[in-house]
Amino acid sequence: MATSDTQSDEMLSSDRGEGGVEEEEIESRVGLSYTLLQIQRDPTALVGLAIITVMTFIAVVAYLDAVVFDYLANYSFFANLGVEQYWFANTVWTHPENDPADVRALLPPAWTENAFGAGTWDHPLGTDHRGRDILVRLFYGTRIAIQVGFISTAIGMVFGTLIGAVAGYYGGWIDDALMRGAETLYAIPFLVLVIAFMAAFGRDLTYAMVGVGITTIPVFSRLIRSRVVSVREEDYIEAARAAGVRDRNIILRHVIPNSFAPVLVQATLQIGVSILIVAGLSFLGYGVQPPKPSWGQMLSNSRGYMLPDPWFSVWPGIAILITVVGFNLLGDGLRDALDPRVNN
Amino acid sequence: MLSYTVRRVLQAIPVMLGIVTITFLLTDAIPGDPVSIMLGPSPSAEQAAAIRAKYGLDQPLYVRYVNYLADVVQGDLGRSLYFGEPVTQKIMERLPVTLLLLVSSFTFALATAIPLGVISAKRRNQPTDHVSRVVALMGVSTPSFWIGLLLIIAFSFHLNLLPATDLIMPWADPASVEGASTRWDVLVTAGEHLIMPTITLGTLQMAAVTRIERSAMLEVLNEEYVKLARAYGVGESTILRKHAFRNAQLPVITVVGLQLTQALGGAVLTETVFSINGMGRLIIRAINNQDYELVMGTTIFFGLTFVIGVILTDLSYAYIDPRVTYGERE
Repeated sequence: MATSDTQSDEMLSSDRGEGGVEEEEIESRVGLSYTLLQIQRDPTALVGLAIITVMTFIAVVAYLDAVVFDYLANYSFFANLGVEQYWFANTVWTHPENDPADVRALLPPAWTENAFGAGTWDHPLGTDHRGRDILVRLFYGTRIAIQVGFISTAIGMVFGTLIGAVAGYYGGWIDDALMRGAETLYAIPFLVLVIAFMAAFGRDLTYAMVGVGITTIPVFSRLIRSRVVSVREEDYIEAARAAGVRDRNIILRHVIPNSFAPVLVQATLQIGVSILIVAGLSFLGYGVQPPKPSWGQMLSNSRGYMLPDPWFSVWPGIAILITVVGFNLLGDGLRDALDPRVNN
Repeated sequence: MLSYTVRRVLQAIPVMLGIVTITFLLTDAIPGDPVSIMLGPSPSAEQAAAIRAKYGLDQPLYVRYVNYLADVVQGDLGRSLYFGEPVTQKIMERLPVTLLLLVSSFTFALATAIPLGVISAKRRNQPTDHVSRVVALMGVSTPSFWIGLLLIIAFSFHLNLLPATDLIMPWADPASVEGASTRWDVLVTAGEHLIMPTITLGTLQMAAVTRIERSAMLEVLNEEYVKLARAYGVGESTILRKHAFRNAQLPVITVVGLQLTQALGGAVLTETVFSINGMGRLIIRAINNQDYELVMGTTIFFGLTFVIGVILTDLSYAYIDPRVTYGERE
């Protein structure tokens, strides 16, 4: 009797316990902390995060070195401290611009040799067609790639999310008009659209970022609209509306935050795509103008020297590949973390 | 089905109108004077005025817009300022080249990606899956034009196996192809020219389709009806073929449809790398030459292709979705 009682008690309590755990799991499957936990458990996502961190760090150092130090050097206080443009590259690394008297163009990497001579450890990855160090130019190119990736994606994400949320929330003719507009932008091949945009307004990096940002608006607006259409039917939206909350606040505070998970995943992946697009634009001569280095432009320069110095064409591509892989790994990890269906 | 088709076609009209408007305004904003392109830097005033009158450039923007729209509706895309030929003729001249490139790269992409994605899903978390996932990840992360450069370095410059430039049409006259005397020679030469551009353009599509095929298959294999089929003792390969594969193809078709525009953009880069005279290089050259009519014409043509592609994608859902056909069969 007593034993059966305790047994049943145990069964009950264990039942209750299991139920409790399940509820907790369901509860914790949404929210930032759960996502972060999943990411921590996912080694590939961590590799992606590590790549992005390193690349962003390089980009920040390159930005300080090339832009901020150049600006500060105009003030005598900083100039007396020895702050000058390319201070980092000059002291820690090799020379960003070569000594004109001793230009050694198209040197191979340090461990090989080609028709132009043997590589030296002064230029670990070799030199380009003007004798500039390839490693240093890759270093400064990181800044362009990271900047372009983040800013153009931010433009596309902000406008795309707003447009998609408004279209999905209101429905009707507003939806029709906005989504047809997005479809129109999508229908023109993005590379052609961006190039035409840049031909019209300017060839430099700012317009590349804005142009790529505009072409990615439809990606985000379609994505969030498909979520908003179901979110707007939820009870809490109904409650907010009944309580007299204005539409603008409902969209910004309730609709967008509750539909944002796939947008976050897409944004991470889109940064990689944008880096690829801008590299392609630079390859065609639209983007950062020389002498500022970008990876796509370096590849474009290398085209003329593929036979004598193939290494010149290899390095910038590897830099692009690694960076974009980083964003793709993190994006995949985020998707798995936010979508438990695929995960298990 | 018919009414759905009609509705989709009607919905495409505002999109086409939007494409024409965007291209028109964008090309109008490109700085430079078309007259100076045609007549050189310092034309006489009468000549310039004559050209302006001939092309209607002396009229205000909205008049030109309406005129252009009327021409486009009638299928007249105007005359290239640089080549002096009708835009449609120029497109027809270059289109086969780009089409050949697109068809061969999509064939390559689908023929490799679909088996790869299915096997990857079937052998989830086994070595085959890992290899195919890494390949797909690399594929979506690599700039296509860089693949082209590496292929040229390896197969043209070092191994001397494949030609680095140009495309030869398989239907070209043997007399016009260097070193070819029979149809077979032409086909071989065309194939040799096509291999590297196909891989260059197709790798991204291949990788993208592999990834979506894998995740779509995994999702379907998790569905209740697949578990039920398994519980009934249906063989794993039958489940894969009959129950899972077909249902998994909807997202794949969407992605392939959308990849089409991306591929047209990628064709610009591939054609630049391999010096192929196709639509992509035509459009870049037109932008660089400020050849407004050609820019507008080619962009509108691309847009139309995309709109048709999207409609075909939507219609193919109805064909592939089993919920439509099951009703008829059982």
